[in-house]
Amino acid sequence: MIEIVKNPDIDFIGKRKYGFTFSAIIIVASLLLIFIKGPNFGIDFTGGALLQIKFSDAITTADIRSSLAEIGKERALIQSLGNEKREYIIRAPEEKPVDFSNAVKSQLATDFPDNPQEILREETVEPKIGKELLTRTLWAIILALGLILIYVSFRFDYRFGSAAVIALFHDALFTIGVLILTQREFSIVVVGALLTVIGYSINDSIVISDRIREKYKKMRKEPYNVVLNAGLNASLSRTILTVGTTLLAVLALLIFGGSVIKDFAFTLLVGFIIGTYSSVFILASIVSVWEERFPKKKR
Amino acid sequence: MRNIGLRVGLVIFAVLLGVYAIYPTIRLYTGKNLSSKEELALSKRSIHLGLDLKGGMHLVLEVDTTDLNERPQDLRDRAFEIIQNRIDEFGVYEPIIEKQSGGRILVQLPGVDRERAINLIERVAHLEFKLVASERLSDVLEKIDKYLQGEDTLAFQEPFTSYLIGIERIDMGIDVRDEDSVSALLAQAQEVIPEDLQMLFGPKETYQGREIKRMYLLKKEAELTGEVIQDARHQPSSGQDLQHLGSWEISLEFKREAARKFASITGRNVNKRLAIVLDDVVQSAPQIQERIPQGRARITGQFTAEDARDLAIVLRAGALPAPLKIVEERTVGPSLGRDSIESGLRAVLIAGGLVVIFMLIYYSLSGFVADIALFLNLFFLLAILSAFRGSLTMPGIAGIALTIGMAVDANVLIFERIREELKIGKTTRTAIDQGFARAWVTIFDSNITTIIIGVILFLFGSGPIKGFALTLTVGLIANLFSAVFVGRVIFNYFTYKFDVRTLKI
Repeated sequence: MIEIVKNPDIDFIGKRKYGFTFSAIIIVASLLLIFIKGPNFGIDFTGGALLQIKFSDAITTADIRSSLAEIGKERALIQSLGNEKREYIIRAPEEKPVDFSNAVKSQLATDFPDNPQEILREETVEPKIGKELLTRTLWAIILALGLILIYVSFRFDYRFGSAAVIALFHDALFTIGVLILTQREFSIVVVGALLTVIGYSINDSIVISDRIREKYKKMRKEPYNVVLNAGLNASLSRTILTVGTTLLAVLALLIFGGSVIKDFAFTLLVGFIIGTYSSVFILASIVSVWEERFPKKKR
Repeated sequence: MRNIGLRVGLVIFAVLLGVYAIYPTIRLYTGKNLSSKEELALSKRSIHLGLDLKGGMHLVLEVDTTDLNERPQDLRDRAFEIIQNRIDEFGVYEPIIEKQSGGRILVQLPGVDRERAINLIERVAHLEFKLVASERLSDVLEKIDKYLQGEDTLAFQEPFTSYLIGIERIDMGIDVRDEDSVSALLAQAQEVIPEDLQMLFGPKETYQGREIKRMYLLKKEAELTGEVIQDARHQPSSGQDLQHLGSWEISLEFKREAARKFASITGRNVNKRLAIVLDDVVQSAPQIQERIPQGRARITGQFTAEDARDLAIVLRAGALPAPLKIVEERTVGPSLGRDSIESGLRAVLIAGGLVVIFMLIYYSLSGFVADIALFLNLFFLLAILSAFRGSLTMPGIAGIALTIGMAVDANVLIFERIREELKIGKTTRTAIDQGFARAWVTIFDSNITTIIIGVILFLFGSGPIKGFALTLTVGLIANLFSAVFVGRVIFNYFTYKFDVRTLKI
């Protein structure tokens, strides 16, 4: 029998101040990023155009940029895909995305007649549509969070429920922070990935809370922190195994999934790692602090 | 073991049902030499590939209601019907055309030529027959020149007429490069152009090595409009005109009443020129030789067979009540679609392969049970998608990969629990029963929250998100069955049958 951790007995709760310190730092950093730099919304939400173009021969970003400069579009985002320097994504938030898209296509065709281009993907979104989508997405997120809160509050006692919700925001904020830091674009797909991260975070909290609750019933005489530690340790190998297999899947997506899925997989990667961290180092620690300040009467 | 026979039977029944559901999909995508009728029948019971995987365009159109008094809803409904007709006649395989809120129309066309499709949908196709006011041309041009000179006292400004090029003695034209300045001058001199007349251009053409557009002075009021058309067909150029040799044209047939009207118009205006104007572009302006009684006309020009066919389609389907604006477009070329399928499948296979191997190593023989459950999970996921004609998109493939990752969670929870029970000295059978029973509560809870998110994403999310939500939600539901129920049946069956004392886990 292979075991990742043999009968672990780690004092997670005793070391909770490290976890709290680390989390405080990353959350403050993420909040600063969110409020100072702000998320870089993609054309799904701002409106704009995206062209994915494949050239017959290699070409540099600078060449494309100087060609676009002739139509005053040198500020468009030009991103190279793959190692061949043939495939590029050009995108820009625009008031009139269709005009932009057509102008770019004809400009490139005129400037590089000997290097024919194939349009692999073309997306245009009017700003109006983007705004509508943003509103709709925000409502979807609010609704999802609301339902989860309801579920958690009737499924758990309020301490674990609240701790799970804090962990959820912790994970979401950190993931958003990393996305801003790495200058990823907030597209509709990335928002979907963020919601998945939230689902995963809650999922982890539930598994661990369940375990702690079970231990609590068996260990009535023990101090509360011992019970919390026992629960965390009992579920530790599951936590590691699950995050391991899930990350295997996500890494496969990230490495082999192609350009469309990259940002999506990256968001999941960051979110799942932080989600696992918070369920081990933050969730029960919050409950332990709570118990120390406001002890529960014995049931 | 209680009911073991019944439960084994249930699993076999579910698998058979799955095979039945999934068979058309497998046949559709791997079968060779399928007749198109077979293909159609199969596709009604198969998983569909999303536009991002097979290539195609997704358009959201909005009716431009700026200068119309009609209710946007009504306009949209009329435009919807016309677009539907056009697309039907164009012959696209499995198009999706839907009305959306806010006076919008959603059009999804798999695997089409983008430019052609947009032209087909977006073209208003407002056809008019207008008389050419040749006799008043010189007068109007003179007035324009004089007006522009008078307004701008700079004597060196070039007169309007200096832009004009004579073409074949009968027509005037302008260089395409001058189009913007000419239009600006015309707009400036609008007030000297008589109320009943208008200047319109022809399509771009090459004349003596230059790119030009012909320019016509027309009577503003149309003699006839496109509503009178009974039928429109494309055909190879039939006239003696050398200019159009080898190109195509559209023959029009008028409705009965309009035919009479057309006869009288042509009869009254012999030797005059009648312009055929499509969406304010003069297609041609032939001279009327004699009264035309048959109610037929031809639109000639530099049309390729494709152009002519598409134009005939839009003329038959009728003009749009108002211009349409593309407010959202997502088009994926076929080659990117192929790449996406390949990379998506590769990602899923690698993710699945790694997980399968890992489970085998970590849990040995029990890991094999987990792998069977994992395989069944994917199998049921695809079977359910087939049964409900679900569509598979690139984010959907990502959802499948994620399902693989999370499906294992259920097995891990169960197995870790069984191990614990064994450690505290329970017998194999009790350990299995307790392990499954204890883990079930947790598995159910944790899957439910993710399913909640999935359902909301599916209901409120747009395009790309929907595909992801669909596979993830269906996958997790399938997981509850395959990991918990089927897994337990396998364990129970084998420990019962072979009287297993020590479990390899």
